[in-house]
Amino acid sequence: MHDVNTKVASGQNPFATTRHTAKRNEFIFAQVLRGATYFILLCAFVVFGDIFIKGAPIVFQADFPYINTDFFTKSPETLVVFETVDGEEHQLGFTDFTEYKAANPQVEIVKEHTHSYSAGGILGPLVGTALLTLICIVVALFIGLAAAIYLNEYSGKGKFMDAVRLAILNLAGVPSIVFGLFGLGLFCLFFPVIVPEENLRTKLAFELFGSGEFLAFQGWGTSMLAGGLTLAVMILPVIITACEESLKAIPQGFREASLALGATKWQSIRTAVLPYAFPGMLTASILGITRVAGETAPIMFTAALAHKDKLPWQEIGGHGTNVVFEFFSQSVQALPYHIYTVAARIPQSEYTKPMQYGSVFVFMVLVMILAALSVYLRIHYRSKLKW
Amino acid sequence: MSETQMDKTLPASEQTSGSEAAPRGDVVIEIDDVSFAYDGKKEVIRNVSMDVRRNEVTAFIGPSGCGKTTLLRCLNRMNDLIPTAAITNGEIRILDTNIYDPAVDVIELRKHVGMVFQKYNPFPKSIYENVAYGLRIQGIRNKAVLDQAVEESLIAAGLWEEVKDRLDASGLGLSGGQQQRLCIARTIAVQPKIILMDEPCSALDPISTTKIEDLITQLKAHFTIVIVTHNMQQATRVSDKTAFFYLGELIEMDETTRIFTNPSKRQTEDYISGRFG
Amino acid sequence: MPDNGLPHTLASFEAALKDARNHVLTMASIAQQNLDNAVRGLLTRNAELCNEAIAEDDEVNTYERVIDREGFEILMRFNPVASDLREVLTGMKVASNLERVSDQAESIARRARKVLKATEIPEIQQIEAIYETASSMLRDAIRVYSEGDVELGLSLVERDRELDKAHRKLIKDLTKAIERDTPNLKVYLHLIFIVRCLERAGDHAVNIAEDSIFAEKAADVRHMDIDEAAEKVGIKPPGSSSLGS
Repeated sequence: MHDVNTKVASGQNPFATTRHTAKRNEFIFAQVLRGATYFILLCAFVVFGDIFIKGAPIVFQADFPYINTDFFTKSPETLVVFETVDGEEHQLGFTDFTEYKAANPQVEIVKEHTHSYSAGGILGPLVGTALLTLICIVVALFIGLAAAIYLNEYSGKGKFMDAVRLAILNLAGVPSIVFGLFGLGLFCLFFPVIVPEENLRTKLAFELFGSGEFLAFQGWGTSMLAGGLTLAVMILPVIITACEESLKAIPQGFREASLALGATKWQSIRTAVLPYAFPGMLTASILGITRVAGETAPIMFTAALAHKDKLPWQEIGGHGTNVVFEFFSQSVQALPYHIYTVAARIPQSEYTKPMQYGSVFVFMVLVMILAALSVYLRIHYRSKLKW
Repeated sequence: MSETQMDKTLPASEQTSGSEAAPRGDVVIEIDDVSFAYDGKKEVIRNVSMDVRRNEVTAFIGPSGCGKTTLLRCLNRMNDLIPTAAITNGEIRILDTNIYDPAVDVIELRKHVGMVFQKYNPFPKSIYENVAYGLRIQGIRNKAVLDQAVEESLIAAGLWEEVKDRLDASGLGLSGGQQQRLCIARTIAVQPKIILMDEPCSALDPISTTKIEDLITQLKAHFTIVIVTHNMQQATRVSDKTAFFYLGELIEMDETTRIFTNPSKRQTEDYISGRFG
Repeated sequence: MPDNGLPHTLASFEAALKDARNHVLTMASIAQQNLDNAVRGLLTRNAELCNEAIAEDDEVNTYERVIDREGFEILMRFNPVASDLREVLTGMKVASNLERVSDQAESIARRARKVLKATEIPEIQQIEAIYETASSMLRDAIRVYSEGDVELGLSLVERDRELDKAHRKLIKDLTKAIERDTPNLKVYLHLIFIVRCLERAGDHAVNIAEDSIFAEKAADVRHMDIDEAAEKVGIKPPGSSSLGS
């Protein structure tokens, strides 16, 4: 032992380094990589931290039920800030302000000024976003899954299929504002509706078997359906790619075993492929939802309204099958558009901040919940379905 | 050939083993001058002719890429999955029917010609559902029928005693050898006449391999078996006939004893005695 | 033996086969030498040659053990098939026959030493013819093993028949001689046993040839007449009384 130590000490260490430059580079690059990784963490921390600090007080409160229920049960309205003669400042929503004035006619109001959309809650936008997302995901999943199955299981190879794949790839690269304009042109201004008579908007119409009604290509107008479909078209490439990846992850052996047992192709896909690809598709779809839910540009022209007094189900006329169409033909408020509105389209002041931060905070929490759900599902099914 | 062959008397057990099935020996698969190409041009099998007889185990041996697996997959038309792949010459007749005839329903063919794969591939379902799978897709829902078929198939595959208490457990929880026997049970359940095995032991340890080989010898009584194997010792242990392929051609097919003691072709001898390359 | 064309991919297998084969050939030459020494010692009244034959038998026994061990190991390690399998099995069987030939040589040498101590009798020289036959048969059998000359191998069966005939006649002659020359009874008995040993050596030569034919042609030609055997290995039956080259 002593012998060995002396050798090393006297410079005879057989393992002493000879490549000093390589060692230095090794150190530098490891630190650069580490730095880049920690930078992401820093960004996330700053964004989430800022929103949490400023948004949480709006959403939560100190007393029971600890959550600001008004924020979730009321729709946005105009905030009225006024001072009474005794110099006391009040902040009230427009409805409350009207009531207040009616109830207290003796009070003299001075310095009254208003801030649009900065009072009330975000129920309307929440509901609208949920409905848009629902329409989008139903349509996108159906078409996307079908396309993915066809691409992965049925289609052969060839120039045409290459073109299809290229189209899907390109679709994924189109900016969302372009999708918004596309949706406006196709769904809002062109898609056919059944109308009792031709009108100014009608570009092309066919009479339906002498029933006196017309199939008129005049568009659906700004509506949930148009917005949902626009979002669906936008998310389709993501869904198709995700579904295809899930299908590809299923071992070829399952298909072969199934076919060798006398299954038809569709039987083999239905019983030996889809059930095992489903979890992957689900995970990908949920991540798709979070993306769709946050999009502003595609719904800006096709579905979203900055202000709407009533919730979608509160003002339907019509009857029978018309009710459904009527329902989906309404414009809605949507959370991302609402955030855009309160953050960029109204004059800013200290009074508009609570609504801004509250909305963003709720939205971030929703996204995080969905992401966590997809992670959970992935872990859950991966442990259950292993091959 | 029998004059020059080593004197070999069949043990009595072998002669009586084909008990309930038809007497062993009639030809069930006739491969007649078959050529095959994956792309329609380059033939990976060239002019192969052979007969496979009932209740015999026929082994296909040969170096990688010699076409043995391809030929095996022609027998239940698994190669149909590849769009451009096709037989370019000759006929394959199974039970006296040209299986590439347009009137042949490939689904029905595969019910008669089962397949066991190289990598054991049970579905991520219960043991019971794995075995019942083939019957379920045929539309059989009667629980009693399924129960009986599952039990009989698992018994035939030598797995019943090991799994009878946990039929609802996942098939993927079994050991590799058990999974492969489960796959064999799944194949048996459809009651095929012929079972094709594509290197069924290549992913298994020696003990599991022995069990599968033993099983093959038992199954011979009821099925005609064609097995592709890289393991020549395995061919000597389980097969009655051995066919040696090289570069897409059938070099020699004969009694296994004959192939491994005194093959008539130089190439066969060089391959089986390890002189290739 | 056979022309095996390509070498084995596994060089250690190739080397093991070659080693075992060389050992069989070395053993064969020693066994042949022993037989020659034993009988030459008798014919030339040279007890020293006889002693050599007795001493060298140990060498042959050692070789038999070595060859068996090597064969065993090849079977276990390399799982030989076809011609390789036949070669290994044949090598072991040939070694066993060679060991017995050497045993016969030792036995001849021991008796020869006793004969040499007694009075010389004229019949001793009659052994030379039968020895020549047995010795040439052994030499040819070894050639069949080393060169795979099937035709030569088949001829041995016929020559063994002649050896048997000569052996029976010589025994008869010697038995008669005993009656004439009773005082030399012991010497005659030794001679009778020596003749018998030579005949046995011939049998072993035939065994070696037959085993070598099996290695070459995978045909078992034991216990059949020459025409049948020739048909089985697929060659024309050699001239019935041909003694080979």
